Amino acid sequence: MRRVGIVLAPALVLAADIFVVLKAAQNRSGEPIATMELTERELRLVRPQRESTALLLELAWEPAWGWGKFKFEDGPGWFNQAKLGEIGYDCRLPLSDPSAGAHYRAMPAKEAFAVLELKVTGEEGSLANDHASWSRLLVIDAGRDFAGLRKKYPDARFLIVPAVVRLLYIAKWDPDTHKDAPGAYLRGAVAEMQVGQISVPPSQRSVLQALSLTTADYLATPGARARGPRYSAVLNYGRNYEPWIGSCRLLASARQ
Amino acid sequence: MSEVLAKHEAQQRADRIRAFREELVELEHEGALRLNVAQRETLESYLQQTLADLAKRFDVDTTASQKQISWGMRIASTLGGLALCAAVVLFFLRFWGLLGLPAQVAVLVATPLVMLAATDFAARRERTLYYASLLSVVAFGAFVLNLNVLGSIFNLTPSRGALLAWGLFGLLLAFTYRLQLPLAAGLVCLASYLAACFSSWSGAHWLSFAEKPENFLLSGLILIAVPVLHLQRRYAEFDWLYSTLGLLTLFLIVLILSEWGAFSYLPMRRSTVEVIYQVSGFAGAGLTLWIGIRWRHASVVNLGAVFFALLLYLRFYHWWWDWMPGYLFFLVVGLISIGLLALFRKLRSRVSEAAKP
Repeated sequence: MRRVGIVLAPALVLAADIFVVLKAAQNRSGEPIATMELTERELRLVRPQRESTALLLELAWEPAWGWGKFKFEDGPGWFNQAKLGEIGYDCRLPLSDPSAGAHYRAMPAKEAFAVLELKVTGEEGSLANDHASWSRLLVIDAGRDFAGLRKKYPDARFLIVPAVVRLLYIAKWDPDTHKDAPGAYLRGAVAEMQVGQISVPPSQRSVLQALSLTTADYLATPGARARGPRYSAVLNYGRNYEPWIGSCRLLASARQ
Repeated sequence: MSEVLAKHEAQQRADRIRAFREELVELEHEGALRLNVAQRETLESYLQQTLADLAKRFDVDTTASQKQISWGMRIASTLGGLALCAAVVLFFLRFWGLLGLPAQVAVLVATPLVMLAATDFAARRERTLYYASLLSVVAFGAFVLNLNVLGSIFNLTPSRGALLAWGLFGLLLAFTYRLQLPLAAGLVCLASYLAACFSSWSGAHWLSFAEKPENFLLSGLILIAVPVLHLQRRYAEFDWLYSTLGLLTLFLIVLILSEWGAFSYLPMRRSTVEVIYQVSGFAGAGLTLWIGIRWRHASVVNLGAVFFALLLYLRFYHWWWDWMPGYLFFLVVGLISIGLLALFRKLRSRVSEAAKP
């Protein structure tokens, strides 16, 4: 076993690495299936760890997950029970059933494609005025079939991205009865993107390296939102629906 | 028979000789056995010679203090391995941004290979395998870092295949050098891989595998089957690890689902699922205790007893806590504990009776 193991262990390491590199090459071969220029509002600069020199851009979208809950409007919106059924959730148990809350809250996350629409200037409206949100990317639909969604949303302002979705059982707690109040409903939510953090390639590092603050730190400085985003980046998606950063450039606010 | 398996048996023999010597002193003190000077000298010389031979050939612990120090060394090599893993990860993150893409990939690929070579070198130089164990943990950590960071550099979708690769790597390290730490890490990765497959096949996201405890059921059963069916005769020193990990997996599944039945795949009402798991939990704990006593596996008996007690106290809490005053609840639990003690004493004496020739 010893001789076999001495050969197989490094062979396994090399095989796994070759597989990863080939998969990345396959994703980037040919023309990107989607390309969109986004700013710091949608691609937040993050560092994975205090001492780290790695630079990552994190995709931000609305409605975002914050402080343990989603910032939703009241009601299920477009991500209703019928859409949850399309995604593959079994919603047959009536919401009036006493065990409905526990049943639906225990449902695990599923994979789906999320449709993100870039709300360009003039359409931003409440998004721009809401201090909690900054991203102009809004989740407007979800589904399991990429081709179907692309056909439905062919414009360049739509990004179709692999995501992780969750079923949410929304109910108000009645403190008197110690039970969920009547009027509970189900809705879905895009919990995270499958690739939420995108690595800045070494060729583009020099552009963003000059920025000493991460986006979270920048937003904490006075007047940051008024000054606006500091950079923009071209985001590409390849054949395996995996992203990469094409190019980055600094905007006027970065030089202020 | 391989040298390392012989080492496992050599250590068992050294332990038996040590116990025999202690018992001999006791027997002579109580007058049950009298050896004359010649017999004593012959026996002592033989035992000394055997122990010296075992120590020379297999580097086994021949005294109680040596054994205690060995445990300390095992703990130190585990902690050292984990600390070195953290050092490798943080060192890479510190300099990642300063390297070009080819250099990043080269460093990531080279690190586990260098650590593998170091593990092999240490295993050839030192029979006790403490350094090899430490370096194997670093090699395992470097391979985890390798796939994680390569995936991050190329923005790949997280894949359960990484768990399979890490699991196989852990097993290769374990079986090549007979090391238990990489075996434990590899088995955890493989159990998670199997659970991720079930999660994916059921239509859920593979990373949600921990949300349905039953995803780990097959892994737990396979782990227990390995020592029970003697599937690894050549690696008998790993048996305790398989049985401990397997039992822990099954007990955790039962414990979680006996409390939160909604997380089960079973198409039944939550309360029905919870009752099924409560009943099977008590039955499983009882069976584990019985098997552990019958096969004289102390770790199996201990796990069964701890799990049985946990299940029992959880039931007491659900049945009585809400309507009983706090002092009465703890009094009842205390009295029941005394009753359990008496029961286990009786069980112990029965086992002792059965062991008499």
